Amino acid sequence: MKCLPGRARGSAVLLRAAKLLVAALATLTLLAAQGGAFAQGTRGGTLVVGTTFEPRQLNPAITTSWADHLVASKIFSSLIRFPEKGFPTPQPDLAESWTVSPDGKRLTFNLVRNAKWHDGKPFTSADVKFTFEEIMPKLNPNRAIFKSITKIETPDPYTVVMERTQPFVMFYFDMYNAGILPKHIYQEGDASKNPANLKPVGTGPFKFKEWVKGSHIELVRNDQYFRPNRPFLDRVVFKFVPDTGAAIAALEKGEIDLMPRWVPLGDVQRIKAMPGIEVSSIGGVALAQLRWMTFNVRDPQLADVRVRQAIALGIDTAAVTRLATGGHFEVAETFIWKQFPEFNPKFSVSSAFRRDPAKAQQLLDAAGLKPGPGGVRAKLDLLTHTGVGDLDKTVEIIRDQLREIGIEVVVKRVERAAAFDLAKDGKFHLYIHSNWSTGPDPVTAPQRFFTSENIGKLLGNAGGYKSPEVDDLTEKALAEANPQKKKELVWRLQEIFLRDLPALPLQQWVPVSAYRSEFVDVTTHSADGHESFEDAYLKKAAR
Amino acid sequence: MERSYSAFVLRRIMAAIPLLLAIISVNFFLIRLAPGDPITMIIGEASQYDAALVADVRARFGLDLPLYQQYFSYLWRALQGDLGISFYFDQQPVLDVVLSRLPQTALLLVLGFTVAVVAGVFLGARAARRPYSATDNVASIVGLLGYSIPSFWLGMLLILVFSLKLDWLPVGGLMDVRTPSTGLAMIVDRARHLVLPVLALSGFHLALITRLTRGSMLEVLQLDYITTARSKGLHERDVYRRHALRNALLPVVTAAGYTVGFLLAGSVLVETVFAYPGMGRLLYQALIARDFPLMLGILIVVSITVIVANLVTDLVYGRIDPRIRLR
Repeated sequence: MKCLPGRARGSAVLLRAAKLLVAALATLTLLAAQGGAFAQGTRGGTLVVGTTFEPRQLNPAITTSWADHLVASKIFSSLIRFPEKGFPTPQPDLAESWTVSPDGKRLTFNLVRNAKWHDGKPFTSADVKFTFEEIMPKLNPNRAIFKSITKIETPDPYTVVMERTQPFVMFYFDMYNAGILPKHIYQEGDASKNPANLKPVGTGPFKFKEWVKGSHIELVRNDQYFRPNRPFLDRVVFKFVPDTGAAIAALEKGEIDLMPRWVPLGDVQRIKAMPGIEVSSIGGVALAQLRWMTFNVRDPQLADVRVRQAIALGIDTAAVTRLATGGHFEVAETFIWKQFPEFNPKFSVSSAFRRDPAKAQQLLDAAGLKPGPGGVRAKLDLLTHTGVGDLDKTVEIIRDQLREIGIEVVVKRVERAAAFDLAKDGKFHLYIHSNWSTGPDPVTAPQRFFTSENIGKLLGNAGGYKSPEVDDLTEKALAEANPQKKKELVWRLQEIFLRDLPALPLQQWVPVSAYRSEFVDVTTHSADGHESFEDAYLKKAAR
Repeated sequence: MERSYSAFVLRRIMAAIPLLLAIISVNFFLIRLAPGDPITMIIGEASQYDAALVADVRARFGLDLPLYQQYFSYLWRALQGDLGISFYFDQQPVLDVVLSRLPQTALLLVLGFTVAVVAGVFLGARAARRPYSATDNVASIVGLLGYSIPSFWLGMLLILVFSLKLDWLPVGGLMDVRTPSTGLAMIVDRARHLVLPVLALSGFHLALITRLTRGSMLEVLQLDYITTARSKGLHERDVYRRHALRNALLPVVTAAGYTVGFLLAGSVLVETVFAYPGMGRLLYQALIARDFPLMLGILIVVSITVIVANLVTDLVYGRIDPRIRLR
């Protein structure tokens, strides 16, 4: 399958159209210019991004931290990229085109020929080979993914051929490295301690200028960028604003222009009402973050599936979502997003378990949880964490609804890292974490959270759910290159999930960002924060 | 006199050593008692499926050793001035990270302290001149508010009024990053960014010192020697300043000494609200990331500051009150 870059195709069409118009009528050339690629953005301006977390360092190949990637993705280029528009179709970046072998295990990238490192050295296939041989399998936190690459060949400076034991998941070339490193800078010494990690040299649209610790990072336009007429902005500044309330005030006053991801849902209405500010929820689809309630099946009460079903019947997830998130999140139905092609509506948890307190109580009776003094059938600890307003509300509403079926919920709200620890050790009955990544591969969630090998691991299978069937299906689905066969395996997993209910899906989490409306295209990537800003521009270069 | 003075200082410094040691020890174990594994914050989601990576990182930071061993090795290195490597900023020594933030916090602290003490003493003395007058009542109400409003909330309130409504001052940060300035304009820019944090930080202590000065003044003004001074025909202003205020200030000096420690604690919240790159915010960041060495490093620097501040308070006290014998 040959993938022609959509952008090149688009401009070729435009060029032809323009030629025709020039030949025809002079008046129409005006229209061509207005609708053409050149009239799209305007040069100049500074974009100030107010971010809650300061990066630890700026080498994208050795980190999965969102804060690091937010800045690094503007300095470094990937081989391909995944804009939200058209997801999951990859778009070219350093690779202008590529071919995949039928079994999905062999990939050939054709690289751009005019890319230069910010220090002036040319970019070649040797840099790609170096990054995927020397850095990713050793220092990337997701190195397991890259260890499975068995061979990398560079027949010429602009071609890279890779082979892997399992089919390639294209998204990994974007998100999990989001940046090819310069071999000439990283080949000597320990890359994790290279001074360039704090003063990065990339091929991206913006060059690193200065990092004032605790205050801000300044990037400036890369005039040598390999895509012509890009980027539009002159400067991008990342200002560290730890308090979201203060960040909203700074946005309102125009001290920052973009507040990525961390806008509290409770403030969205107020921010939307502010003149000159837009709210965006682009950038959720690739990671497909989900919020669910994990049942600790090691607990004798919750080991009985009838009790888990009763709890599902006791909760009106649609109402919880509407009330807790102001309708900004959608109801979750299973362990993947409804937007995924592999989602099968037949196995929707919320339609299978529409709220029915009477039926829930029958199930509890049958499971031997009879009402005690005050009508209390069971007392369950609900572990959750602080710092997310809509999560607090979700938990409170669930507590209220479960009281009606005789389940008394005792909320244990601790700080995030503490909750991870308690969850790992199974010290809870019910556990709700703000959001878990379940994409881009639909098998991500079953593998991480519901296979037996991940029991007792940090951020793993906290509930202790064990199913040889799930273990087996997960392994098969991960190795499957045929989309139809993979879909069928994922369906089967959804069916088992609905039957066994190891967790109750609650909401599909989306990143909510806010920005000043004089800026265009500041949130475009399918994993928010990973856009390069090369297409972002200021409507009137006023600032 | 001078000799006993230096002996006193020396003794106090010697006494500070076991105190510091105790602080390090208690904190070392206390922060490790809290649930939460730094590994989660260092390597994120991959920690769940890559056991080898987890082991590597644990070994790199010495987290695989038994706790007592970690403690003694930390103590031994700390005594030599090596506070370890920050987990979160993992290429940088803790001492460098902390010291890079110290000047900003020191500036905030000195300004906050000065505002609290100077304005507090002035307002308190002023209010005591005519108790229960309009001025006094206003001072009392403002004092009560200042005393009861938490600093981060006061900070948000100040932002709302002075930045958003009146548009006089910036919302936060160290400087204007959109249009960086140089020279004199830069100093003005930095100063503008300091006004609200200093007010938010000093609010509570300003109120405290106002109330303390007022109460102390009222007490002193009833004493016999004031009556004597007045009957000597001294000018009322001299009675106030030279006779009453001097004696009334004694408890204020003690309170001012303690203020330093509380100001440092307050800087955690104030620096976070105002996005000010100081040590307080660093502590908040370190806490979220479970960065044990960084947390300990900051606590050590803070402890030293507080110990020094208390020492200075004692010395000043000895100077202004000859009844106190420093032993």
